[in-house]
Amino acid sequence: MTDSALIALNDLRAKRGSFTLTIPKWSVSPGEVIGLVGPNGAGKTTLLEILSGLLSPADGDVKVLDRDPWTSPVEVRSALGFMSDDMPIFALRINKLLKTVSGYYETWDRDLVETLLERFKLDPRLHVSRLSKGQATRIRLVLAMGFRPRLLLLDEPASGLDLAGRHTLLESVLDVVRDPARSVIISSHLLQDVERISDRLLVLDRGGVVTEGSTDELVGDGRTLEEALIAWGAAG
Amino acid sequence: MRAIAKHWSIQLRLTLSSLFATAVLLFCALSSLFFWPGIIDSSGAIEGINVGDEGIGGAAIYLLWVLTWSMMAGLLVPGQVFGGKPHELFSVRALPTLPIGPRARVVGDVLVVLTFVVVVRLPFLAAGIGPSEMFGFEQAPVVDESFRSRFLIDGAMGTLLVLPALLIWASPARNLQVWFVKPLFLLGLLLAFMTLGFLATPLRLAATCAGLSALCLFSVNREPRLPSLWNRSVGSSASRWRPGLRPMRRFRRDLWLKPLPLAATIVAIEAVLLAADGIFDLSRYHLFYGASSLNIGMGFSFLAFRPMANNLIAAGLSAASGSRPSDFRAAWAVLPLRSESVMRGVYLHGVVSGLFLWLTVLATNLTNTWIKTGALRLEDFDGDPGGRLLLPLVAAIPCLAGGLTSAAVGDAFRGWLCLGAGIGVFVGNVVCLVNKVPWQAHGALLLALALVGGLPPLVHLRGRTARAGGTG
Repeated sequence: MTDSALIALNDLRAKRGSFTLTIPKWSVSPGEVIGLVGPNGAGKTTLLEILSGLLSPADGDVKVLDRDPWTSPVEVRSALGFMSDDMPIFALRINKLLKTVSGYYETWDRDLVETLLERFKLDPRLHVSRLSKGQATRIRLVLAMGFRPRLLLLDEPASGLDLAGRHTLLESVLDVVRDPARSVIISSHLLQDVERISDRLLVLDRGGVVTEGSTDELVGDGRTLEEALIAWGAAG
Repeated sequence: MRAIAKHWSIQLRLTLSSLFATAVLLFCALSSLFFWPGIIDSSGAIEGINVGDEGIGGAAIYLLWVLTWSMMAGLLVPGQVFGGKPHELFSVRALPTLPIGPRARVVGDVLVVLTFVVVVRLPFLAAGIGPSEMFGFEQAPVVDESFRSRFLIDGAMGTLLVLPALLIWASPARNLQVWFVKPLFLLGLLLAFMTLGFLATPLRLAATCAGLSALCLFSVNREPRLPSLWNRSVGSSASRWRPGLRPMRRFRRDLWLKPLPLAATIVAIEAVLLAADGIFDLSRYHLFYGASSLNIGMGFSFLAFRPMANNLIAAGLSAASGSRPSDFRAAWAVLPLRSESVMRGVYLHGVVSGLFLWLTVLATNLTNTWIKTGALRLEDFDGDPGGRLLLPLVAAIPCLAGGLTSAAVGDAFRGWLCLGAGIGVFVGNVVCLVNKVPWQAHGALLLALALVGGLPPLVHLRGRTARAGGTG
């Protein structure tokens, strides 16, 4: 862990009902794309919610952008974009939704939002309640990326997206990390996508860390991430 | 008819399987024994609802209660919808593919409610004495030979009067606001018909209410509607934005400024109505009260339920896996704001919007009386002192704030508690006035109801506590 780490976890323990997530030590440096993989119930969403200050850990040290996301949610979320396919959004027309949300971020980038809307083929006049599942995922991505967050957390971002949508998503994620000060954590069951863009992997299963390290090292020797997960016993 | 009967029996069993739904429906049915528009006058003669004799004040109270209890019943019987598109929450029923038409389904739901009314009234019919005598509100019970026939006629006519209200609440609507506003239009129509004498005889009342019921059923549309004008309007093709501020500063601005245009519109409409009443004497036809009630009711629906100009009820939010009661809090959760700040904002919005609507009602009443009589005092519909009726309703404001907060966090228990306390304030106020309860007891009851509705949701306004063992 370095001083400039965007995320630093030490002896994290989080409980959600009978489920417990335990991560002894983990950090994320600027400029990295982290793939978060594991079967259902591994603890991926729990970890992302702790990092975004939506859930309080039971124990341990959590630092996101040098702050505790639970006690300083305003400061952390001003520079952290969180997207989940299950996240409710305000039922407004897209352009009004963007206008509403933009007022909360001093770093809102109007040009970037225009580009993303065009890239994701979203009509700003559409009402959110009329969007298809894939379109709703796209607008959630625009909201999470529109203020150029230093840290972007994506929980199943490809849910409901067609092939073109997934391609655009990956392009946009790579655009984010062209800026070496920013990082992305992507949690997805689409292992090919994760493998393609991740610099490092964190593999979770039943609330514990199975393995962690560089994607090239973990998924080498001609095997795919899917094969590696099966080998680690973390395929569900 | 078979489909209606089948749906009725299934829904009745479903309702009876829920202790809560059964208790509320029984309460509603029992209340109908006392708040039932009187068709039989004190001499025992059968007549309709006549504004001239009874005065619109008393009739309006009955009608308001008819609308209120039928809302509760209409909410409970069709059951909650889970899954599906959130915006369809008020436009579809659970399992829309059941082999029953939408109108038959609405009728079946309404018959379940009326079943409770009939069951509650049967013992009185059998005993041959009225509820007031049975509960000891009147002197010694007097067995009257004609009671049963009068009680039956009264029940049948009252059922006809309630029927349109029940049908309209049980009917699906495009969204929450429309679901609220449709019954207000019905109330306006009933008041207008009452004024014009359409309810003055049993025959006229039956014909009018049957017509209104048919209209309500006709409005249940199974076909998808055309997109609304708002959605068809061409807005800016470019994305819109506004300058970013420090998050809490922006939040405070949105909290105070966003509801302002609507609040100003409500006041402006009231001012126009007052001016029109002063010039054309709308009160003579009770149109002023109807229009003013509609304006305030719409204000309640569109202003109070939209803190920071965002829909509070889950139907107004969109989540991939359908709507959930806590969607409002979840939608705000990822913005750089503390969750408790948002909830405090919602509570404050409830207090301020409730206070605003209450003050608007008082100001309208005062101004109207002043224009008419030159005296600055509160009057009710009949020209009697209205302060006793209107002033105590301030107790409903904490219930509104608590209810909004409970809805925002998805706390069903406290939400129902607030709704019950709020309705209790309105009903308790009228009951105390009718029974001339001493003002100390009257005030204590309303204060207790305000505390029951307003205090429990405060638990959601608490700040985040430092986590155990956390060192960050």
